Formats: sequence, C-alpha cells, structure tokens
Amino acid sequence: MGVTTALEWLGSCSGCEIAILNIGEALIPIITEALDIVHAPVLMDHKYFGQCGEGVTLTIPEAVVGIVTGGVSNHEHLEVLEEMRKKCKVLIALGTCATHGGIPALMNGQNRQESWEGIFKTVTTDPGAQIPTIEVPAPLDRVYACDEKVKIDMQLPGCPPNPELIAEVIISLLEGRPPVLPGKSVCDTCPTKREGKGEVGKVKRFLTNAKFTPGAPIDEMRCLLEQGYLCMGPVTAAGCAKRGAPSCISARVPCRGCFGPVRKDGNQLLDMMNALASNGIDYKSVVDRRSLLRFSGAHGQLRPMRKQADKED
Amino acid sequence: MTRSDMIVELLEDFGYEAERFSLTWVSSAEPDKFVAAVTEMTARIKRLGPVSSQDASVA
Amino acid sequence: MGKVLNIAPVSRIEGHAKIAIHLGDDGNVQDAFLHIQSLRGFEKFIEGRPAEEVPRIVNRICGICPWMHHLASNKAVDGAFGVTPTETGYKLREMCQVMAHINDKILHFFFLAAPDFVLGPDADYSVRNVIGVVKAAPELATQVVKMRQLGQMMLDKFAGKAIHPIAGVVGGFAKPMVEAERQELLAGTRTLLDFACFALDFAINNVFAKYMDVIGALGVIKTGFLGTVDRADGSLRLYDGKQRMMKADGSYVDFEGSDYTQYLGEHVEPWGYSKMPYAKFWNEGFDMNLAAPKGIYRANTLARINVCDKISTPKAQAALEAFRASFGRPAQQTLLYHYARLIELVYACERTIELLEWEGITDPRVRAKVEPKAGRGVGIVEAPRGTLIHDYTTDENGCITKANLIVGTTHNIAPMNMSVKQAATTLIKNGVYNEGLLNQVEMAVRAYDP
Repeated sequence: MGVTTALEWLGSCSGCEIAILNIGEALIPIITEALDIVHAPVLMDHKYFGQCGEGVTLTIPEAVVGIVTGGVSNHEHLEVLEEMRKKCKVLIALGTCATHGGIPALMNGQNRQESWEGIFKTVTTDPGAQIPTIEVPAPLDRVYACDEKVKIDMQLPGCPPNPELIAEVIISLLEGRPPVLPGKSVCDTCPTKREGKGEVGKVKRFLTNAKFTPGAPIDEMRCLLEQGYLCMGPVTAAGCAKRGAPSCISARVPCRGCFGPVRKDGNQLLDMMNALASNGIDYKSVVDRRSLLRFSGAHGQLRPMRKQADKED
Repeated sequence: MTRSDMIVELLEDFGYEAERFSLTWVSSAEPDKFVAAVTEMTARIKRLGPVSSQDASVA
Repeated sequence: MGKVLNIAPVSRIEGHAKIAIHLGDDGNVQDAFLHIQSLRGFEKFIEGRPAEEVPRIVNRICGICPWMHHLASNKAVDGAFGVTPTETGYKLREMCQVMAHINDKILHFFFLAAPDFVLGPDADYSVRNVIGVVKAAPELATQVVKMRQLGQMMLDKFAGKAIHPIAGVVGGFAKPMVEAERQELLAGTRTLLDFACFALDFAINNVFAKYMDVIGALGVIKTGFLGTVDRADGSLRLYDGKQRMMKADGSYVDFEGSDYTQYLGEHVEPWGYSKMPYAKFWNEGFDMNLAAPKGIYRANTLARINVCDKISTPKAQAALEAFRASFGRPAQQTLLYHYARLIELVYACERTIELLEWEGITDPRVRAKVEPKAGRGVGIVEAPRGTLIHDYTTDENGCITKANLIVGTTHNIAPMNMSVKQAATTLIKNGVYNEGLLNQVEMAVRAYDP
C-alpha cells in the first residue's frame, strides 16, 4: 500500500492543486499506487467532523506526507495547519502563498479592518451590510506564511509551482533522497541576450510589447531589463523555467517575482532597488514600488504605510 | 545623497517613519553640532516610540 | 433535542465551504446553510496599483479559472484607458479563454463530479473519488488525464503559462501566433473535439440515463438565469456580448454589461463571507424562500444554455436541440448543469477551431497603442462558473482608485443555499440520515461547480 498522504488548502486559490494535476499521466501511478491519499478536500470526501458531521473537534487522519497550500489568514487556516503539523510526519509547504504569503498577503500593506469594511460597501453591495461573523472563521491580524506558525520540513514556492519540481519532491521523498532543485535566480535559467544595461536610465511600464521576432527562439530576444522594462528575474528564485526559459519570459512578458526571493529570507523590494541602483537605473521610475513584494508580503515584509497625518507632528 | 533619499523612501515603504533615519555631516571641530544632533535624534526617537510589532515570527 | 450536522469541508469543489444542516427535535430539517469560509479582499488591495499590472494580480483569485479574471481585468483596463484592442489581439484573447473553458470542463466533470456517478453516491468515501474512478475504469481515466493534459500544455506552451496567465495585456496580447503554433494548436484542438463529443455521448448514455430520477428531484429549485449572448444573433458567447437575464417563465431582458449596477445588487448575510448577487431591477427584493424566491437567478452552464437562442457551432447546436427536446427552455433541474457543461465543452472546442482557422489569427499586430489615463472600464467574460464582472476606475496616472468585482460563482451562492435546503429537506426525514444521503446533499452543490 502506498505512503499515506494528506493534502490541505488554506488561503489558497487551488492553482497549486491544478499544478499537481499538470504533472500529467505520470501522476496516475503516484496517486493510485505510490501514495495512499487519506485526506484531500479538493479530490476526496474525508470530513473534519466525522463523515456525518456530528463531531466537534476538527480532525485530520495521520499521514506520513502532508502537503499544505495557501497562506494563513484566519483562525480556521491556523487550526487546520496545526492539525496537519500534528498528524503528518513530513510537512511540505507548496506554493508561494504557503512559503511567502503570496498575492493575498498584499492585504498586509493595507489596514485590514478598513479594507474589509470597504469591501462590504462597494457600489453594488446592499447598503447597511456588515462584515459577516456567524459560522465563518475570524481573520487573523495579517496574512502569514506557514512557517511563521508551524515548523515546515520542506518549502516549494511558485505561483504556481512547477509540476516537474512537485513530482521531483514527491518522488525524492519516496526514494529517501534529497530533491534536485534549481538554485539561484530566474536570470540563471533565462537564455535571453545580454548586451549590457548601460543605456537604461529608467524603467518603463509594460504598456508596449517587448522587441522580438515572432517565432524566433527565445535566446534571440534581448533581456527585458535591458529593454528597459522592470523585470524581477535578478531577485526571484529560479524554478519556473519550462521548455528552456522562465515561464513569463517565454511569453515575452517580464518577471514579477512569483517564486519569491532568491534566498529564503531575502526581500524582493530591497534587492530590486539595490539591483537597479547598482546598474545606474533611477529607482524613482518604478511606479508602485511596494508591489515588488506582491508575492512575498508575509514575514513582516509588507506593512501598512503610515498615513500622512501621523507625520505632521 | 541619492542613496539616502532612497533609504528614507524605502523605510516608508516598509511602514517605518522617515524620521527614524537621519544623515548629518559633523566634523571633529564641531562638538556642539554633534551634541545637538545626537540630542535632537534621541528626543525624536523617544517621541516616535518603539517600532510596532508586525515582525516576522519563526515557529 | 435538535442538532446540527456540520459537513465540513464540502469536498470536490474549488473553494472553502461547509454545510450546516439544522435538525429539529422531530429529526426533520429545519434549515440548511452553505457557509462560505474565505475572504481575501482583492477589491481593496488592487487599489493604488498601476492598472496594467492588475490582470496579473487578479488572475490569482482562482487557480482553476485564472484566464477569466485575467481577461475580464484586461477588458476593464482597456475600458478605463479608452483602448480598443486590435482584431488579432481580441481573437487571441478569446481563443485562450475558450481553450481554458475546455480544460476546466474536463476537469470538473471527470475529476470532481464523475465519482458520484461512476461509483455511485453511496459508495464508500475512500473510493468515491478520482482515484476510485481510475481503478474502476482505467482506460477511460487514462484517456481523460491525457486529454486534460493536452489542453493544458497547448495553452501553457503558446501563452507561457496556463495557470495564472500573463499573456493578455492592455491593448491586446503580448505576442503574435506563428503558423507552426497555429498548426499544432489546430491538431490538438481537433483531438479535443473528438474527445468532447465522446464525453457528451458517454455522459448521456451512462450517467444521465441512469440517474434521471435523481436529476428530476435532487436540489431542484425555480429561478431566473443570467448569461452572455452574441450581440448580433443571440447565440451562446463566452468571451464577449450582451448580458441576458431570463425569468423562470422564460421572458428575458438584454442589457449592456457596463450598466450592470442598474440591474444587479449584492445581498449580504452574516453567516457567509461571499456576497449574494440578485436581480435588483426586478424590484422584488431578495428572498431565498423555496416556494416563492425573490430576485434569485442562476449563472454558469445551465444558465447560459437556457438564455441563448442557439449555438453557432454545428455539433454543439445539435446537442442543444436534443437537450431542449428533453428538458425544455428554461430547464430548472440542478443536475442538468453537468449536461449543459458538456454541451459547452463541445462548443468551446468548435469555437477554438473557428478562431484558429481565421486567416488573421497569425497577424503580428496584436497590441494597440496604450496611454494610461483616468477613466472607468467594465470588463465582462463568462467564467465557467458564471458571468464575471471587473469594474475599475483609474486616476490620471492610470492607477486604480476603486474596483468592484462580481465573481461568477457568487451569482449561485443564494441558489446553492436553496438547493442544499431542498436536498436536505427531501432526503433527511425523522432523524434518518447516513453518509450516502449527506453526500447527495453535497452533490446538489457540486453540480454548480463552485
């Protein structure tokens, strides 16, 4: 029988789960023979409170391998994550939300209470609507990455993570060996032409398409940063490359850092500002600097800005 | 000067008050200026108080 | 003593929800709720962002239908900036959107819904899932996995990313299609069309035929329907068109999506994070009463099949005619969502081929000139789950000042609550319930593919 496995999703969008499915045909023997999936709400019907819903304590069965996606933003996420940690021998945080907070952690850059109040006052929302509080999990003070709340044994970022790397991690666990993962930055996996960043003084918004010959191989296109676009390749962990080029670059679109920082505790905003400054590029030309942390806003990196009023003292 | 402008703006990006950073040029022949700068900064920081906690925790 | 059954989490759906069934002392169902458990706040944290960045932020609202948010967002930014995409840019976007529908529908029917039908709603939960389907019908399962993977990889290779796409841009598309790509996509889509026709046949003969009595009873409610139809001929359109709101009696009103605030309101209950859109312009208010619902309409496959006058592609049109001969227009039975989903699957394959065969699809002019400016744009597409609305207002720097999102699946939150109540009340009497019956209550939710 296979290795018992539990899969949970917290503040997630299910993109990581689809990435697992995108492993393709090779997934069939993995889920039918190599693994024995005992809990996975996306795919099978094991319930928290007993199959007839009569229990009172949230329970997940024991498993050797636990995979958790999504960040931690409410009390139910926390409860599920802690139960996963308790019941699983090896706990893997899959996807940038789980490892670094991901896009939902953009909320960390705002005042959460005010934002939630605003959501229930949009132009089409019935007037007088209040934030729901009954039978729904209360929010935490901010969005957390999984390793801020429990010990995580392995982190595999990506938005979405690379299916080949997911398969490699699962198989390496089953074979009892360390996984073979790409190191360093997106630039290290990018084959575009580098001719020097000398002429670029400012970065421009992505309002025009890049310069390239349609249909020509990707290594004939000039580096997007050298073309004057903001590309976060230098400050983003490698891993997204498929078919010989980073995913967004292969569509001729600049990188926005969705695998998180190169080093686990790196800061993509600071690192990018340094990279621009070292190349003589005016940092002020970056519109909305704080969104360089759009994928890595947990770990206290993204915080609400102080309002102007506070400064006039 | 450009780098210290950047530092101030980045501090604000991260939710810290710009006043927590200051760059002052003082020579060894200007002790009064040095004392004034340090005194002023100390008072400023005391007024601003400790940084609020939204820090990363590691479990 | 009454009690509450907490079915949590609702499984084989694409979100976080729980069902609470309240039993009275007599063991009969007094009330039942679908409590939506998550709220992330996209409408707020895109404020202040440069509008052209937003399509690659809001795609993360959903990892199964990211193309829908990506493209609705691009359309909204186009509107705010006053840009009209080039014809090729427009059609490349539509092609990606309908291709994404193909993959989504294969996923839903075979991976999420089929276990209930292939293994039976009362099968032990440990086998009542896609793994059980693989073991019970290995050839079918391998074929399904291959087809879904084919569709995903075609999109991934052409557009760089299938999940959380980035190739749609304000003004059009990030890269042109070249002839070699077009040939590869055509070959793949023709294979998918064959599979789609097989899937529909398989379902009609092996699923719908066997489960007609369940279809007739489970979760059946009476509502209006909202979808998108082609402006010229009222045929089914997934990418663009005018909105059509039909009442239960079959009468309907067409409107321009940009006027949506005059037609739709969003009701809020304190027991679920998701808002519940309703037809404000019917002037009846909002009520989920099963006997006399007010303001309630549904979106998603069954709705689109009901509101369209016809389907412009031949195989899907033939399927629609057979469907209407059996079930009429509008059809109300909730489990028919699965049937409608497979008709749309056939349409999506045929439409993709149509777009690939258009002579201008390889034209290099894929992006119009873009100047950021202040404005407001409403971008609408039919997501698999329903009519998706992104409404953005920008300032003179082209940054978002305000946003309103009505997400496709939310149109069905009130109807799902009604279907859950109907199913629970019908199936559970005098305190008699078991895992199979409770799974059937979940099936009433799964049909909506939320």
